[in-house]
Amino acid sequence: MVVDAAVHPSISTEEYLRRLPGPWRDHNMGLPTPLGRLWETPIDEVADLAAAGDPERVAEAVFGAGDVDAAILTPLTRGILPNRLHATAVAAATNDWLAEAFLDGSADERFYGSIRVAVTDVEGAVREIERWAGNPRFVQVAVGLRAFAHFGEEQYLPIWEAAAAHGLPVYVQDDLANAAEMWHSVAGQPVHWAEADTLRALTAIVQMASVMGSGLYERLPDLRFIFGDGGLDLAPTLLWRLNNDWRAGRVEVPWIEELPSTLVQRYARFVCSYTDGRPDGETLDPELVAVTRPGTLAIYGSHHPHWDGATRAEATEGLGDEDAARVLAGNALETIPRLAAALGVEVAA
Amino acid sequence: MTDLQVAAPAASARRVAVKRIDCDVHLTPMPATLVDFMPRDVLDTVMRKDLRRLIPRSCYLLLGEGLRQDAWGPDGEVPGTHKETVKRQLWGEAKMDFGFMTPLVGVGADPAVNLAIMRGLNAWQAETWLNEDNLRFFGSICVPVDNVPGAIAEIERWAGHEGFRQILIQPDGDRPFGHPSYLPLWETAARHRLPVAMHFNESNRLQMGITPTGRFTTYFEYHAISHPLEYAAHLTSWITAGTFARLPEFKVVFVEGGFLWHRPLIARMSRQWEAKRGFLAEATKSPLECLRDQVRFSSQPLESAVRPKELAAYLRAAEADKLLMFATDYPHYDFDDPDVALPPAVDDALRGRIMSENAREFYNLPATRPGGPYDEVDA
Repeated sequence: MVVDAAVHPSISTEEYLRRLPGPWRDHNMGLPTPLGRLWETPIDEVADLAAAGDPERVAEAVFGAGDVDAAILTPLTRGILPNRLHATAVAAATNDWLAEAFLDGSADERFYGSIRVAVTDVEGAVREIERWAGNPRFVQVAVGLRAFAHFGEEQYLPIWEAAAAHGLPVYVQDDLANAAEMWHSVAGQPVHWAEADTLRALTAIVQMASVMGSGLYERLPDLRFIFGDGGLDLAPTLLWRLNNDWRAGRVEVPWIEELPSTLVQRYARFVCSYTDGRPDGETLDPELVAVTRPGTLAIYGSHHPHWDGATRAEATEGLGDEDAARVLAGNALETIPRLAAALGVEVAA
Repeated sequence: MTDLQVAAPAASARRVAVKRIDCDVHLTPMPATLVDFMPRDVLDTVMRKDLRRLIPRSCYLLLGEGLRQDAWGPDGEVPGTHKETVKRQLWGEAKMDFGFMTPLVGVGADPAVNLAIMRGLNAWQAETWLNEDNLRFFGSICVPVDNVPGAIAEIERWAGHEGFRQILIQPDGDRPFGHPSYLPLWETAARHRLPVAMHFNESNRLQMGITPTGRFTTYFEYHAISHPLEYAAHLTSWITAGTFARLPEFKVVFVEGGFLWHRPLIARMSRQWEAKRGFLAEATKSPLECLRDQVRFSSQPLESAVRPKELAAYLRAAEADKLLMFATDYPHYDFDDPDVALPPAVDDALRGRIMSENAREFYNLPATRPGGPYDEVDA
């Protein structure tokens, strides 16, 4: 069985304007372009956004090879929007479109969806989760990687509580750049897209560390995070640093009762990157694969229609059959209970 | 054997093989000492002799002021300021052969004041530690990145001094350092063949704990993740901007910010560079070549894996045999003891590269040094 956990259908500006309520529709309140405008990006070259908005063409691209049993759709939502009401309006319009075009109509039955919410609007995000939680085709909550405060901050707790209460993991995906987000590096705005793209996986680790430091995992033991922008091979190196600081400074985070590198295995998963286990970007290093434990922590996702996703062959290279099966489907099914239920797979608790 | 017999021949004739080099030793003057070395004009006018800003301040919980509690001097001297204690602990107990000084002083938002502080630090290094021990300590020309003309003048002032072997900067620029506004600084460093070492500081200029997605709330997160974030921003920037390609003699050392994190990022960048080079017109040198030729990392605090064999595997994959240089971070609380910092799973060849040879080649240091009073006589 194969689950593609990272597919990004693209909603056009016309579709947004048809669905957004006033005043966001009537006055064209500056809905950003799909790929942002800070940098020239290689994505522009290859991603056919019109095709990525068409259910039949997405189905052909994702299921065409014949081996994928389910795909989880996470549309991008044009980046972080400063006005929280605007942000939730865009998230809601995205969900309406996804449900209508991909999940509830005549589109391929192997499509499943993410409930997009805006973390800048906690009330609106909870409302949006409640609005869709009854639809079994929505199997997770998706948030943008970027925020004005880390995910461990107390203000977000109601969002995570709502997700956990409905058995929905939280999928974190960079929504690209619209220039309202804070600079893409801690040392000021990078000059090139290549820098921002490289630093993205680090930002996922920042959110992972924040959730850990806040004790959120102890408060909501059922909550799971899936980091869509990768970080599998980056995580051990920074978790070992966190281990050191936890050993020295436990007094500050008394709610963490085990090594951060152990804790993460219970609560976080990472979508495969094409460079996982490849220290030069190309050649697989089997010893490194043994350290990063894709069989436990990795979930396959193609990132269609973006150019830089891992292929199924890349995601499973060097793995034994059991680990490969876990990367391609088992870990996703374990982390996303609604998907397992929909596919009729029993997963050990 | 009397004391006289030990001391007399040891100092001059005997040569000792260099086996341990410490790339991060925090010897810093107390404010009352530093002011004697600072230019009077700024000190007397703008600063009004207010020295409180010179003490770095963390907003986060920091245990034991961040200091090794066995490093206080006999009369209560702050760790790193009592010469005999420093030498006994570094040359004697830790058996270091050479040490690179990385003085840390809090800086503020005024570039003129920051330059005055750095000028004081450099004069202090030259007149104190750099006169000792047949140059077993090497100095760092401290410069403020928010004052590029002043930084260049300060490099020119000290570049001819044999004690200064590198330039020391803090990571808090306004843009990542590949930005064209910083290029004259790197050109000056390259012209003098002085590596640029980067060390973070709990200064008043940095937005402490900030990240692209918020602010760290605990020291636990801040200390583990912040510095890799800063260093990664500058490393990727220098590569993509083509700074390394343009200036082959420009070399960089990332101090105390971790090592292993760089490899997954460089792997990602390498793949991207191969596939989409057209977007990076000036980056004519591959990310891995930039690293191997021009970038090094100091080791402390070494990422200590739960299973030491995993650390050894990661070190090998990340080319620690070329890129990693040992450091203790003396006299801070998280000092890495050279006897135990590298796990037994690290073989002797790699151990030798990390403990001394990578630094010796990078800084062009001799293979032996004169014997000194802290060497074991029978060694």
